[in-house]
Amino acid sequence: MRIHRLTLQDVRGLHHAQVELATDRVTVIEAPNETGKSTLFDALDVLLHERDRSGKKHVKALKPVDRDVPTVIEAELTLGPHRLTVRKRFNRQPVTELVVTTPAPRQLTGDEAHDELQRLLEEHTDLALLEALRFRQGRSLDALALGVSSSLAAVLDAGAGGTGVGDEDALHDRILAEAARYHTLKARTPTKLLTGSRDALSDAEAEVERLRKLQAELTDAADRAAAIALEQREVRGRRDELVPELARRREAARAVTDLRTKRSAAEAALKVAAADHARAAEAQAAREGLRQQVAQAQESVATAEEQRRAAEDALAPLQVTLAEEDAALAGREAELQRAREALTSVRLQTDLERAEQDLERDRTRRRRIEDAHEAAAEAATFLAGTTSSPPRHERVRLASDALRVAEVRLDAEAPTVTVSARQDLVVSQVDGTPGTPDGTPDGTPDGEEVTSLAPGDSLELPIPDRLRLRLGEVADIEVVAGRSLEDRQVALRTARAELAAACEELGVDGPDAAEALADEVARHRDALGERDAVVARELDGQDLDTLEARIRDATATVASLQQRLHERPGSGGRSDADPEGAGTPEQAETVLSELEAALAEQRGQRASRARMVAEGHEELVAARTRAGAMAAELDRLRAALSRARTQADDDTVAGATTGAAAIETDARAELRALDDRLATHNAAAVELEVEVAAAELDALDRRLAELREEAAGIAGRLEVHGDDGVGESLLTAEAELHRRRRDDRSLRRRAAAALALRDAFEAAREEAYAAYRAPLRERIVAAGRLVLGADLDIQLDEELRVTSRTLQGRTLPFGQLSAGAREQLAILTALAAADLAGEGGVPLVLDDTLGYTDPVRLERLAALLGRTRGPQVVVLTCVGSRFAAIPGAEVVHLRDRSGPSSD
Amino acid sequence: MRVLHTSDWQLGMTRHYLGAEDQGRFSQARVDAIRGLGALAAEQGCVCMVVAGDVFETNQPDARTVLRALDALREVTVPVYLLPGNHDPAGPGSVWRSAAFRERCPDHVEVLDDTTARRPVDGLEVVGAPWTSKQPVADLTAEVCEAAPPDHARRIVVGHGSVAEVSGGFDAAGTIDLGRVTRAISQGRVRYVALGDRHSCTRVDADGQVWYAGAPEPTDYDEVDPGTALVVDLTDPVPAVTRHHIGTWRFHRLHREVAGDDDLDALAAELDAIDDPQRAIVKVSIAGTLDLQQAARLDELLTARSLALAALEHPDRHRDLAVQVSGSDVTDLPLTGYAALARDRLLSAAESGGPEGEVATDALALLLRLAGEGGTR
Repeated sequence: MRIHRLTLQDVRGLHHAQVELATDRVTVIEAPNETGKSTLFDALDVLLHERDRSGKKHVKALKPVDRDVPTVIEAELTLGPHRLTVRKRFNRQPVTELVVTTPAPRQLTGDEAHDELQRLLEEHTDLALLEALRFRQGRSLDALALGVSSSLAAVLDAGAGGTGVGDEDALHDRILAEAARYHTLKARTPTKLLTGSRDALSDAEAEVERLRKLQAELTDAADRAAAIALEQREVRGRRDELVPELARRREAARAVTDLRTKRSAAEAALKVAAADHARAAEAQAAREGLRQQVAQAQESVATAEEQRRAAEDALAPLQVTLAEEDAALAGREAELQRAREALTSVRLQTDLERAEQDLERDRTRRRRIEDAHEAAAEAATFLAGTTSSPPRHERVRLASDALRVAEVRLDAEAPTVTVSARQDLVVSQVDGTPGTPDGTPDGTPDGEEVTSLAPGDSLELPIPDRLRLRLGEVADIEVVAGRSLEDRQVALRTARAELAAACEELGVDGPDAAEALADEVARHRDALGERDAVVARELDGQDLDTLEARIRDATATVASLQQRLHERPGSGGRSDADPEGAGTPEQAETVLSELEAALAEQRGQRASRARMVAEGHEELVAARTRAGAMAAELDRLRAALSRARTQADDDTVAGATTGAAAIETDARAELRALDDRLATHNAAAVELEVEVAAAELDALDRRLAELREEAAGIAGRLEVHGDDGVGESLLTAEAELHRRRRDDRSLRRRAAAALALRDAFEAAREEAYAAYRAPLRERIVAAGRLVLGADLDIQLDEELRVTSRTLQGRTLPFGQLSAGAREQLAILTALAAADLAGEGGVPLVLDDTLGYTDPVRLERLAALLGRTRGPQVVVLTCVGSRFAAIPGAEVVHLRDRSGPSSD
Repeated sequence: MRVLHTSDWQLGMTRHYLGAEDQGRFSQARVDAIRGLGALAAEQGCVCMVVAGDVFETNQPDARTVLRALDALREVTVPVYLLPGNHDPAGPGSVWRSAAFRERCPDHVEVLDDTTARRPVDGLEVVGAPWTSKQPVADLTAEVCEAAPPDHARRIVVGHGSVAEVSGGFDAAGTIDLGRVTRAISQGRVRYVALGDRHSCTRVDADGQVWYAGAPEPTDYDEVDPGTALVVDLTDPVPAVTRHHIGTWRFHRLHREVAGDDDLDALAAELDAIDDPQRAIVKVSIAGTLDLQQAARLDELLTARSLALAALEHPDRHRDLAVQVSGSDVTDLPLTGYAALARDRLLSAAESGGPEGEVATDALALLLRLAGEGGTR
């Protein structure tokens, strides 16, 4: 179909509009919204399909709202080889006019015209494709299903070399239906028909198995029952044989038993005889033994007496010695006791002395401390009241020194006289101090210093001022010093005066006193300073209270020791138990140790002696005891012998033994004879045979009982199942199983055939469809790659719908694409279909589409549309610029000529 | 003095190729045979009836089977001696000791469960050699024959088992030594040995004193002279034996070569000609070559006849039939496009043979049928 022209009059809002369309390229009809673009093709639909008098809603809807006028629609079309114009008037004064211009001109009106139009449409127009390629506003964005297009199908089919796609669909459906009886279409899982057959077969197999098992059990039970019966017969038969045999053997055994009985009696008799013999012999032996015992006892008694006497003789001296040693030991022990007492006393004394020393020491310490405190107090008092001071003492000392210097000068610088003796000479210095006529010096004894000189000796004497010497009886010499002596004397007097003043200041009489005062001051100071040292030294880290406490304890200890010492025997507060003068505890201990050692030694000796005595005593006691026992034993034996002889004398006893021996011999002979007879009867074997036979009989009886019991059990089971008809049921079940297997095989064979047929058809069909769809798909892909991307690919289903899109390596189902992508693919598909349909195709009408498409793709689509040659493409838009990129497009502006301009 | 000799009633026997209804009739026929035998015995003036073993198909038959048999036996007017055979040996758990049998067994029916001689009438002894297990370790029949006194009395030994000279092989379990038996006969110990086990009526020895009566109703295809009973006249030292047919069912084995529609027509006619189809069991083996359509026709005609007959067996193992797929109607089917392609591929597979070829052939046959249903042909 090609649309050449559309003329609308009084259609909806349009008064009069006419558009002429290019038939072999794109026509873009531009008009604003609500100006009748869509009305153009709605009107065309009504024109083509509705009778002029149609009262349908969509026909009436074409009538203008504001005026009551008929709606006139006219179109100039090409349908196949026919070029025609069809005009219809609706809603009022309906008219239909059909003017066919080619190939054979004719004109028709009314229904005839409408019918002819329908015929032409049907014959030359793929209405399904026409509808499919009509992109209305608000149209669904589902994938375009072009399978309905017969023209497209024809083209594709022809393109696929006549695959007959669609021709054999009915047969295909029957094949599918037949196959579906046996397998599901998609999963190819067996249907209930097959599974039911298999299940029935399984059930039949199970039933046969069950019945076979049951029958086998019954058969086994029956076989077992038969076997039991057979065994019972055998056992009874054996038993019947065995019973008389056993009787025979028992008879033989009885004879043996008799012999055994006799033998037992003979054996018993032998035992008795042997016992009698033994007793007689024993009695005889006892008698003899008794006599011997008596004799031995007599000897023993004599020996024991002798031993007793010897023991007595040996013991006496030992006892004497022991007594003596006991006495000595007692003395030693007393001595030891005394030494212990002495040691104790010495220790007490020592402890006492130690305690007293400790006490004294502590008291001394305390005293020292007290003294130190007293001395310190005294020193403090003294120092507080003394006139001593270091400068004063220094003045005294200097004065003393000066005086001494003056004196020394006086003496030292004084002339000297030397007396050298040429013979023995006594030199006397009568008076060296001037003014002392007598030579009595101040403070010097009135006498002379006499010096004896031997020949050659010399004596040098200073001459302080005047010196008078007496040279023995020879001469008296007086030497006077001269002037310097006066100076020195003055100095001496000055020094003396100074000294006196210093002493007076110090409050002493002289230098010595000053020195003594200084010493005293120092001593007091020392005492003062020494007090703390004394206290610390004496306390030795303890405090005074501790010292006092120790003194108290020591005092108490001393008192206690004194008391203990006093209480000791013979003590007067001191121990006098020290006869040898032990003195120290060590000495006492030494004495004690020596005594203990001596005592121990003595005790050892005594113990040894005592042991000897004890042994001797024991021996004596033993000897006495033995002697007594021997005597008692002798008496006893004698009494026993006497008693025995009272019952039977010795001769009688001997005779009894002889008789018993003879009896025993006879009994033994009897027994041997019986044994010989038993041996000949082979008694052991006979008895064994009886045992064996009896045991076998018992076993047979037991076995019969077991078999009876088992047979009863089996009979019971068989009786329970006897009427169940298991055997026949099994036969029936086996027949059923046979039938089921046969039927199942047949069914499966039919299923396999149906499946093979279906698979063959499906495979061939798929190949055909693939070939069928290929041209369309290739066109869509080719166009799509220009618009969407070079790696675009799509898949079509049997209805030629796009089912998926692959772009940039990603495949998405159509339904998951965006609205824009879906619209684009739909348009590309429509374009491909229109292109394929060729001359036999229909127009592609795009009414306000691609609203979701981005400018880049829009431009590409426009370019693609512009390339279209062949199919008629009509684009309706209110935005002309959107499709301005369509090269070669015919742009038409829709104008309503009788009304307001739509420009 | 006549005795009816029968055996192998196989009461309770089932055949897998019989449907439920046909099986019922088959089973009933076996019970009715008892009545027929009774009538025959009465008609022939027999003094007793001996049944030489396998009275029941199994030693645990359904109680109804037992009761029906006993009901039928009740109508027999002569003493009946039933010998336990290999299918129904005597002993614990056997049908002979079942409550159903014991409680309903008619007084004139006796089980020969031991070798004690029975005397139904004066001058006649019936001695049985019963099976007491499925595996007898001795020749029971020969032993009984040899144990009988050589007094030339009218003595029948009723035995069961195979005879090597007849079966063609030595069967260890229960094989009857014909030599011992005939020797006993020649010694005057036995006048007639009534055997059972073989379902075909068969004379065993040369003198006709040892016979298999055969089953009164046939049980299989290969039986010779089935459905018979024997009337044995013991008047003379050498008995006179007459056969009487009483069976109502028939087994038919057909083998046909087919190469086209004519052969199929002939086969159909032959099947249609079978008398008393409701009591006819037919096994057909087919060999030859047919095309797909003819093969389908063969299946159809066999299926149709199977409805009329009691059973129509045509097992695959008895079908040596080549189905030609090429040049047949399937190749002429007006298929186009992928349908034709699929058909061609199946033809190719069918011609290659093998199991896949068979499946392809079946698929083509199905295609032919489905195409015919749709009016494609």
